[in-house]
Amino acid sequence: MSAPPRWNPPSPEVVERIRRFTERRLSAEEFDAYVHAPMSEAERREILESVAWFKKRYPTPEARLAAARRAYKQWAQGIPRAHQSRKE
Amino acid sequence: MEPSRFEEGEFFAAITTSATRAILIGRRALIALGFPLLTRDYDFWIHGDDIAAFNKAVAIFELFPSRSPDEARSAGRYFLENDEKVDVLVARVVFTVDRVRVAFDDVWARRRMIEVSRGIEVAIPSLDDFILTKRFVARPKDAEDIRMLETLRSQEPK
Repeated sequence: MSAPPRWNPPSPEVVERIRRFTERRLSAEEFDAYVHAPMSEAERREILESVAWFKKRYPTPEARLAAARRAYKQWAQGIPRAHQSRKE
Repeated sequence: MEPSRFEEGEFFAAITTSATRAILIGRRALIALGFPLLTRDYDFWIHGDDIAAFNKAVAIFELFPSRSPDEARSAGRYFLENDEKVDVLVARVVFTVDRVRVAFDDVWARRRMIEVSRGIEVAIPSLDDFILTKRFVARPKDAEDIRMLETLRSQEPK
């Protein structure tokens, strides 16, 4: 069996572009269109199941907060930052 | 650079012990409620008269404010930072993207408490107020969070 393909992190420029896109402020109309977009039963179920899983895996708020800190730390280590590319 | 001596339980304990009127908002509060999300920051909405007390409480973690209390009151927000980041909203009133007026005093009066460490509780907004706070900045990720909160709310007993 061949090894799974290696994950290559996106370039810092791509990360920055995505960050700017997701952090942009929407108008009231755009925001409401987003919030009130129809939700499929599958999406609703996925939200509830992910919450149920997280609460079962980490039964207390303290455990959930600690798990999220660990996960963020791990995630951030794999994401290049803009200043890194300028230096490199 | 050496990492700061930050410990989350102690951080919340310091805020609780200081008796500042501080409400944990944003994604960190959503995580405590049960949403598996990632975030870097801590977001608080505090009473404008409690800025100095809040800063003093977290100073032991070498978190330094970006503005003086007077400047922060005038700007409505500031942050504290080292390798951790704490965004602090201090405005008495904030308007949502569709101009709904949200007052700190009202959100504080309706707050819920959540135990974030043994014997340490912090204030979070009620679900309805949480949704309003997510309409302050109105980014796509805030809309996503509202959809999740609405789904959770639909499960609550009437």
